[in-house]
Amino acid sequence: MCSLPKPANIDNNRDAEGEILQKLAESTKTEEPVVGKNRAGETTTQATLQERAKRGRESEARGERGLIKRTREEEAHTDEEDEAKPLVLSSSGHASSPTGRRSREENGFKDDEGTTDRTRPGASNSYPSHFTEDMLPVAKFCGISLRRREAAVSANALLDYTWQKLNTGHWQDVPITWRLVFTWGSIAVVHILLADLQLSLSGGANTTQAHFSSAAEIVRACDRGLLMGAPVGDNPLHKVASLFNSHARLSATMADLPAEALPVAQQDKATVHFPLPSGRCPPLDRFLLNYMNKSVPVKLLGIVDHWPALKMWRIPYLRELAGARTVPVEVGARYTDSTWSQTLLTLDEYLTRYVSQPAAGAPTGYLAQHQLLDQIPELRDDLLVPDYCHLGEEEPRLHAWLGPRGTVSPLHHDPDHNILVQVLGYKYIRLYAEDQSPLCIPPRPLLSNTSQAEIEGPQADWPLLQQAQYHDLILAPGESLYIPPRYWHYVRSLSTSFSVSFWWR
Amino acid sequence: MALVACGLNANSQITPAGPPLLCCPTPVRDKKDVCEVHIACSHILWKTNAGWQITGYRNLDYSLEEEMAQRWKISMSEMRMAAINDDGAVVLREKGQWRKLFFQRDTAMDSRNLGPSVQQVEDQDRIAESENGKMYSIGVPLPYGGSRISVVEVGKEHCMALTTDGVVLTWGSGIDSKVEEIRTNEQSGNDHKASLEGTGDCRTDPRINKGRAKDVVNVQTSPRLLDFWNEDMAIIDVKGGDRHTLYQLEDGSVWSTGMNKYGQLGLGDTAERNEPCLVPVTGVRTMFAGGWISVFIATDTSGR
Repeated sequence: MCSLPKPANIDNNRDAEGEILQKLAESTKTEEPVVGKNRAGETTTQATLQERAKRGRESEARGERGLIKRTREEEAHTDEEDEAKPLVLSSSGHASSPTGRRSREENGFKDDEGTTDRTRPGASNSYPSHFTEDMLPVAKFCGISLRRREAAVSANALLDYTWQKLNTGHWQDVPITWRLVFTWGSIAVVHILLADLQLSLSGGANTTQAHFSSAAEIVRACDRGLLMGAPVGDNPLHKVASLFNSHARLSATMADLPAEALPVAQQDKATVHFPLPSGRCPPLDRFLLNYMNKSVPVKLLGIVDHWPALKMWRIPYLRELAGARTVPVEVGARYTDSTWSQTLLTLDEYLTRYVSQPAAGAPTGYLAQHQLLDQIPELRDDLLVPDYCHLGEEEPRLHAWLGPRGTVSPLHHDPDHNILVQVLGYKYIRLYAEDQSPLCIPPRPLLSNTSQAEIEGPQADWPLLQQAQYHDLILAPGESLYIPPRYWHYVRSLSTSFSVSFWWR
Repeated sequence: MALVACGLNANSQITPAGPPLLCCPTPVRDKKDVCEVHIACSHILWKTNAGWQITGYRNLDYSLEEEMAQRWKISMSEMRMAAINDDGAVVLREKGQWRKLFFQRDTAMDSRNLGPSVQQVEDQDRIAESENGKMYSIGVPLPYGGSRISVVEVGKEHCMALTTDGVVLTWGSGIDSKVEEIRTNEQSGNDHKASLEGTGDCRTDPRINKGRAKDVVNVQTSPRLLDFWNEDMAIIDVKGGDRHTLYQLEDGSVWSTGMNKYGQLGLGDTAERNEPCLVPVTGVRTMFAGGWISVFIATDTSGR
């Protein structure tokens, strides 16, 4: 990592920030409202747009320098550096590529040998006139100098090579260095995309719709870097993604769904047979002694009363904040099914297709167990980590669970303490103690913490299960549930639901 | 002989001073009589009548080609190169030198080197096959009490071998760790063998990702019969890059499918394909694929 040079003209481009801002403002202002849906405030003031683009470029530059500095401080020389070198060296610097020329000369090729290839018809200097999403962004700018195209291709190649490394073997075994390279590579690609957008804005050749598509592409590239890269402090990808989210959303035509503004009511039925006792804001020491140490679950009331999220987290708010962001969605009735799969969608697509307007007969889609609050830090600002979660030895980890009615998490247990907070909507939960394990049916071969039993399935199919003792409850907005480690739990949503879980040990 | 290639060219591995990617099969002018090609992401090793030649990224190893003799059997990946030299010894290129590898063997066998055997190397695995059909992985014989192994291929996560009985063996991660036996006939054995050059990783096989969302990796752990062409049409060669596949049919046509972000499918654009598409090259004798690059050697001088 020490040898990675930063792109040469970071500082040169700082002046050009002013350009990007003005052009973005101008082009958006002069466009008729038919383009996308001009939500209120989209074309507000030049100031807003200027601010955004400026902050985007600044945080890019800052973040790159910071990341390089940080990675320099870490382990000096690894094999992974050697692997990444060819693509990194050729993508260094937009302005000059001395290494490229040197390697060509060393290979015995004179520069004039190449010229005939360049002018040959059919050689790939001209790109087809219609573009699909897959095409490199560089293809849109045929007039740009060769160096810039080379840098874009090389940066993408570096990302692809690293992506392939990240997808080989088990995720846990992937060295952190490769994930750092992926973060750095994503920052480089986003930097290049921003520069291209700036140039295109000053050129005036592209339509506003094309600019919105570029914004969407930038957000997608940021999210890829965030999802698969290493967690890095002060990551510029966050800033850039949130800055361009609203413009990116305009690239996709989304019909407004007025039903989403209504409050969420419990739609599905569930009967509680053995209600779990509840407690209102138990003192910390009581919680530790009576519940954590004794592995006793409890329904907690009033512990999140001051969360802004309780008032703010509605579907339209989520769309505005993060509609263009890419999120991983689990598709299928349960994660134990053979047809279960994961897919990547924008939050807008997910909310429309799987939450608000699911097609009849379509499989359920669940935004489950994703660190949405790390990906979109603005959401994290809407909540406060309950004090109880700090009673362990490690920092609590947060996950978001967003889905329609009817999502099911089959009976399973987790190794950590868990407080599940219900923010929006309703969930039915059933709990079995660890000593009921023999009655909960042997676990599946590959998922040793998951039972095969269908909790709400036909009782005749699961006779052993009927002998097990359990507690159950319905969680309403503002209510929470403490689940001890290794305690079996089964969850079914009774409406559109948004929950946050805190895991700690 | 007409030599054309397409794919990533950011390191000038295909043509010097050319565009960073080539999405049409482009003539490679400066090499004569190329008979063998090994392709990695950032560099290409060409074998000509005059000797070996490397284009692309070199990692400061400038004396490599001079130290390689014509008859050597080469196996190359992005990070490693191994060869079986004239003495029949297995050598690995490390830090500008060739290092001999020593393989463990039964005391019952003699102590000579392995002889001219097939050898494959990938980033993590090394494997060799001896004359009498025994296989060695990083120096340890692999137990398979069956018939002789005729071909062995190494991918990023698993390996495959074809026995003379037509049985395909696979082992590695993603599959239960024992050697898995798949009965198949000799005909399709060829497909299996060739499908493992490159990563050989079922996960990134573009055929498997048909119709799935982009960026999603799905796993297919056992070979699946492709039925794109009708049954009479024989496939005579299959080559795989990191994320694309090339097919050569008996009528001489060449088809490509998979990732195309760097133009490696040779179809004139950079859109990925989920089904094999006809590549505009004629008279192709042999083809090679690796990394994000495809190379075609044709007899017809007018073939692009």
